[in-house]
Amino acid sequence: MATETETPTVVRSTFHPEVERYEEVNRDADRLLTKPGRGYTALLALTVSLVGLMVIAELHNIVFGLGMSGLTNPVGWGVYITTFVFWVGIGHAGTLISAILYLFRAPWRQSIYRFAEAMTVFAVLTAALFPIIHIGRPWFFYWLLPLPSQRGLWPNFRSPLLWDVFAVTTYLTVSSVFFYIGLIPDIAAARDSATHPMRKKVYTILALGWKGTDREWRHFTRAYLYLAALATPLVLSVHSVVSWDFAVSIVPGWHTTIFAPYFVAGAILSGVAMVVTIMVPVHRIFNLGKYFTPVHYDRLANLLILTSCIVGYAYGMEYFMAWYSGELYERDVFWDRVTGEYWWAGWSMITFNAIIPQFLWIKRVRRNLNAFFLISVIVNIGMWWERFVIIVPSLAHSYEPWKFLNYHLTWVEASVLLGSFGWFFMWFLLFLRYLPGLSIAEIKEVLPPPLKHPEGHPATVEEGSPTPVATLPSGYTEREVVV
Amino acid sequence: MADGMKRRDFLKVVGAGGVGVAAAGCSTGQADKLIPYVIQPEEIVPGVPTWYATTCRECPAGCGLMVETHEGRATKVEGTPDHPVSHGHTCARGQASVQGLYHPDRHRGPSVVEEGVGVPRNLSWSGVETDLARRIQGFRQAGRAGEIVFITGGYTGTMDRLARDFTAAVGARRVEYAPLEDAPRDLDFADADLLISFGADFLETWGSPVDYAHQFARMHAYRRDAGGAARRGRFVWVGPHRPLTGLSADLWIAPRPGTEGRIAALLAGGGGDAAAVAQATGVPPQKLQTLVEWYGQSARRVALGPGAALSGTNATAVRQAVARINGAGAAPAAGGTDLRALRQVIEEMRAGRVGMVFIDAPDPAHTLPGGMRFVEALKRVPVRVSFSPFPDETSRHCNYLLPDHHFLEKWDDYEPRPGVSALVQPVMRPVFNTRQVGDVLLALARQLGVALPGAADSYYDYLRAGWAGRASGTAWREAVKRGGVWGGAAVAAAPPPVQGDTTTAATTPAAPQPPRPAGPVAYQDLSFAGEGEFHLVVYPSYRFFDGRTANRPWLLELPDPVTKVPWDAWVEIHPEAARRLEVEQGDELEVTSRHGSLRLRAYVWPGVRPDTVAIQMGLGHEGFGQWTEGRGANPMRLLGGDSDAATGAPAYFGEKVALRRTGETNTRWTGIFEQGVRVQHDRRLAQAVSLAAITRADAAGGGRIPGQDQEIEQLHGGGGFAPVPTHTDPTAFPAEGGKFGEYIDGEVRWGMAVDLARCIGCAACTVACYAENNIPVVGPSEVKRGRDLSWLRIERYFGVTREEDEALREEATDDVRFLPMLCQHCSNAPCEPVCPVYAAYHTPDGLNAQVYNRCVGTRYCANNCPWKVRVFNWFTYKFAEPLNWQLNPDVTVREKGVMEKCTFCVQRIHERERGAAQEGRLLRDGEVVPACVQACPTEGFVFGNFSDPASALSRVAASHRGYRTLDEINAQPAIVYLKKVTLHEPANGGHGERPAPFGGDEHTPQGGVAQPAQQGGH
Repeated sequence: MATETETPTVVRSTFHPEVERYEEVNRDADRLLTKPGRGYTALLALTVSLVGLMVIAELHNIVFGLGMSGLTNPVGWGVYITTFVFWVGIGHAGTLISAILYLFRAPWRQSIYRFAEAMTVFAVLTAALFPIIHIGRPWFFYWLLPLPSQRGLWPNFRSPLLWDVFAVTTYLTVSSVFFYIGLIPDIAAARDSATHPMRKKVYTILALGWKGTDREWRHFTRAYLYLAALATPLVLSVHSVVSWDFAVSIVPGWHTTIFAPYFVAGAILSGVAMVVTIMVPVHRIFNLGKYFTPVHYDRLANLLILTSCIVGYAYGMEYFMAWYSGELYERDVFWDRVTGEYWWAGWSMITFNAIIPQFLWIKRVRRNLNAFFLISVIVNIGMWWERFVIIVPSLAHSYEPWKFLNYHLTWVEASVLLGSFGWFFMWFLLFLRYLPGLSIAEIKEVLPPPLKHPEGHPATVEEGSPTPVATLPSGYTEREVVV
Repeated sequence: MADGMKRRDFLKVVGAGGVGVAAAGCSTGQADKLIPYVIQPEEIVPGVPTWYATTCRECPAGCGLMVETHEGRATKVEGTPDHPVSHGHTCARGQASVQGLYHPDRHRGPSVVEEGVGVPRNLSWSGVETDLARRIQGFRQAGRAGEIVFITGGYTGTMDRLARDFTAAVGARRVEYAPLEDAPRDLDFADADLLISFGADFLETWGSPVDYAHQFARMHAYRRDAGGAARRGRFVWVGPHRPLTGLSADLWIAPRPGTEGRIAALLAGGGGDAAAVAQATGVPPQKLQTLVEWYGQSARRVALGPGAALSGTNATAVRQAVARINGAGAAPAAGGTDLRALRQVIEEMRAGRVGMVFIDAPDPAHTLPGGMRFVEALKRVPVRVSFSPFPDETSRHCNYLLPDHHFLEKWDDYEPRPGVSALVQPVMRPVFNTRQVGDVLLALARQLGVALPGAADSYYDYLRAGWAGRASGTAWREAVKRGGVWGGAAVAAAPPPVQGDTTTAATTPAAPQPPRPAGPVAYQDLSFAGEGEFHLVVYPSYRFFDGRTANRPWLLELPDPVTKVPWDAWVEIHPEAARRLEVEQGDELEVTSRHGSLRLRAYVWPGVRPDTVAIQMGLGHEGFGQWTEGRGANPMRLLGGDSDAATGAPAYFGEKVALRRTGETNTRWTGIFEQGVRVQHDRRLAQAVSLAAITRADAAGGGRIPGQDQEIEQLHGGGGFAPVPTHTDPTAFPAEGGKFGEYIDGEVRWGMAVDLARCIGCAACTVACYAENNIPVVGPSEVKRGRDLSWLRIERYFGVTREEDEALREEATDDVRFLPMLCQHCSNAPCEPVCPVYAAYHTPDGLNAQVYNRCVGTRYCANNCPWKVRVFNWFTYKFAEPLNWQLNPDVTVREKGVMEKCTFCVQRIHERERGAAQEGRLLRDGEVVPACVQACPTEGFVFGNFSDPASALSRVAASHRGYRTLDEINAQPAIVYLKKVTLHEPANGGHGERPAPFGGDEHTPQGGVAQPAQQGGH
């Protein structure tokens, strides 16, 4: 308590030192929901047309057959499965940030987790398209589901593809529910501030009658905690299962025990990179510097460096094992990855994922938004190539030398790949415009509680006044960040 | 391989007997439309095939065929069992003959192209015949009957007689043009110890390929005689270039082009000493020494040749030297074509002294040497009649198109060789409004009012009458049932001279008798003419012959057995020459001779002398239908039309050519596409063993089916958690504890043995598989993407290591391994557990089944298949009408998005199982014969039941030569390969023989999960 002679100290959050008041958060969150500019409409139109392109390409696949892709006899999986794994991987960062960091009580997640979580849901939604797109007879997709039917035939529970179906659908369900539950108090806030009658109506329905009572908050926090606990193992399990699509087979280059942790690390690497790739433009366009502070970027950089090191280790270990095992087929495949037709993909995967993120050790690089953004994009590209390099050269160069034959993508596959980005960003743009992108409730948790002035701390620093500023304890014992 | 007649064969013969006669009744009438049955014919049971015996006319060999028909449509051909020519087997061309029958490019009916109109006008047969008769009559009345020329190709027997009588009666002239038909078809070398071929590709086109392949396997494959002693004949190939036949040789002698005859003369005696011959021919003395040594060691030596590729102007002299090696006093018949007579006719045509020409010969415009300028001469003839069933280079310049029947639609006879009179029987009604040449000639004779000896209303009656002396009444029925007469019956009832025969022969202006050399011809080295630096070898194609079968999609899609190039032609060039010219594989070369030039892509390999280039006949068509348009180039354009001085036979050898790079190189989508790789990458897929080693091993006795010799522990106990000691061989299927489903112990476990010592790489099995299993043809651009749907492929390896250069070395062609690769029907199949919808699963009788209706097309099974034998339907492939008539109704036609693969011809297994069940007995060994096994002319496949230790399969597979490919994966294949047997100590790659890619020490493909040391076998 300050004495009367002393100037009262202004208290700020460690993470959002520029946010002064609670209502500021509401205002900023609402600002995202206001009428968008031309840029937004143009972007949305672009994404929708990309989706249209994907639809046209997929119609080619359905009407003429999968021959419209570049797939061939030894290479049965190509861009479609690559992109599937890529998007499933992207989905991982959201759950990691929202669930695992929640359980670990990492308060720096508050302002970014909503974006990350939305990204998760949309990424999984994108990934879920690909198992259907890539099969030869997509109109029979439901045969992969364990539906009781007149066929009297269950799916083969020994097949990793079936595990995949379960893993992805489970993940989609849990992450959507988690996403929605977390949204409820914020939707209620949006409802309260909404002026457009239609919006008001929809938010009213979605808010499930949230009034913000103590009782509601108690249930909410419990529910959120349990869902976080439920979602946490999925972060590890889903991509492990996806990796088993490969590891359970006997294809040289796929049949590796390291695959599950390797894929999970890779997924988090790509997911975090995608969070940064999305955060930086949102930050810039919506001027959210108050919420996306250097602390957040710093933490994300840490995650990137960690997972990049794990991935780099996995790369090294794959090559080491190929050499150390003395296994002919394994050696040939790994040799082919870096010297074969797709040698450049092999090298870009190593460079982009294991080497370039190491620049984030340098403070100047990770504090430079442009540099960080660039690195995150490079990692995203690298992670796509990683999946491509694992899938294609391994199939093109497996046991039977007579069938060493490579794969070359076609316009149909390129369109589907582009369309998947269109699909993902279309959802994301809609999300930005219609749902609170900032977690109003949770950001307030790390802000200093509003107290009455002058007894309490003043909220603002007056011009020219020597008001000292104190920061709230960060709430956890990591090293304090000097802003 | 089992002796005696199999049940399936027996049924065919019985079926053929009954229906052969029935068909005789209906094929004499006009062709009607094929409509569904309103009233069920008595002989036809829907779903039960009917078999007809006939004779293949795709090449001069004349193999006996059994044709499977379903509800009046031919679907598949197979060799007639115990036939003296086919021995129950076929070649790839024979298998594809049904595609000729249903070829959508065929002429639909007779038509006339009027001057200045260009578009053919369709006519009725009677209209065309009346028109032609009127024109012939015009020539006769003007006293210009001699201006009518009939070019016939390969007529024997009744057609020969009819053509001779007809031309004589009309006063026309007849010229015989039957390219590549001059080789003897009655050689017997099955018991030879040494075979020397002077460029005679007897496994492909020369003589009687199916018979010769069958004999070759008996002579050359590793076997043990009754006393248990190992036997294996030797085979020497002499020639500047090594086609498929040459690749089976143990020794390749490549004399300087044109001096091949010296080798024959040396062996026949009186050809100087070996050193001098080596000097003159440029053959390394030690190679020649080996040949001379082998020659001395061999009790029975047979020489063959010269083949078309070596036939120059001195061919007769070479042939006589070859005959001396064989101990024959006189040289065998030279053959059917006297190019001198034809050249004279062509010159007359050019001079406008020919008024009318009938052509029923294999596409002379395409197969005649370019220097003879046939088309130019043909255009000077006012009336040009083509009997070709297809639009081709000749018929596109003709104005009367009278399409002949396909041989599967007509009655005829053929004499493949002395002592064999084969019958050609229609197996179904004609697909189109075509008419057989014999009937046209008879009708013309009738309309002209000229008397032919033995003339009849129809060619069938004419034929019957001509056969009266050989077979009439029941004997005729028997002959139709068997497909002809041979053996004792044929000799006893040699064709009697037909009435009027002598007189007509006397009045025939140009005797169609095959020209024969007058006496011994002095040998002279062939001198090559032309400016260029390279000797040109033009050799017949295994797939396309002289080009006559080039429009069959199966044969176009089938890669060449040697170069593995589908859908294209190429020029073969030695790596050394390629290096000198800075040419790489696939670069376009302009090949120029004195007579013309053409552009082809280079195929660089060491199977051709450095001073020689080789081009295959068959492609380069300009008017042979939709599939050959613009494919390859016709090497005949480079030849001048020289002929053998003694006999007038065409000389294909003796031209020199110059090569020039055009600058076009191979890209992914242009140029030639070579399937597969040339070296085995140390994978030890196709293995070999030396004769010495296998003789030693076999002398010691024993021999076990691979997998029986070693016990391993597999996780089959406690629900898949506890290791249980098991064997991995196919007889141990299903593994103890691994049973789920309805497995019955010891019932059936289907499997196969493939003897690489017998495989000659001809790929007859592949085409048979296409025919039996409704496998679509995907076309050239899809093949380049690797999307061919072949269930069975022949892999061809020039080397065993990972070094691509190994395949370019001089000795690379000395140990070429052919490996038939098909679904291995693994006991522990990697494809099965990964399928999410149970489309890939294991049947209780050990088949790895693929249920098309369950398949959603994840392609995981194909990814997980180490052999990559699963193929995917990328599109719904079309069978161009009426090629779809050929589809086997016993096999599903697959749609897009479905995986498929070899089924071991499960439809045939079930057919036989039903038959056995009806008779209340178990299946007999050898009763089920998959299509590939059936077709194989060297009988390299054994199919059967591994559960029965007494089955032929179990006995054959229990060999010291037995091994399984990629055995270390522990997929436990049900296909046991028997190693090729070489005379030298072979390299097999793998252990200790390969350089390590990471510069490390030697490494070995280690065993699978529970199989620490097991290897493909040594």
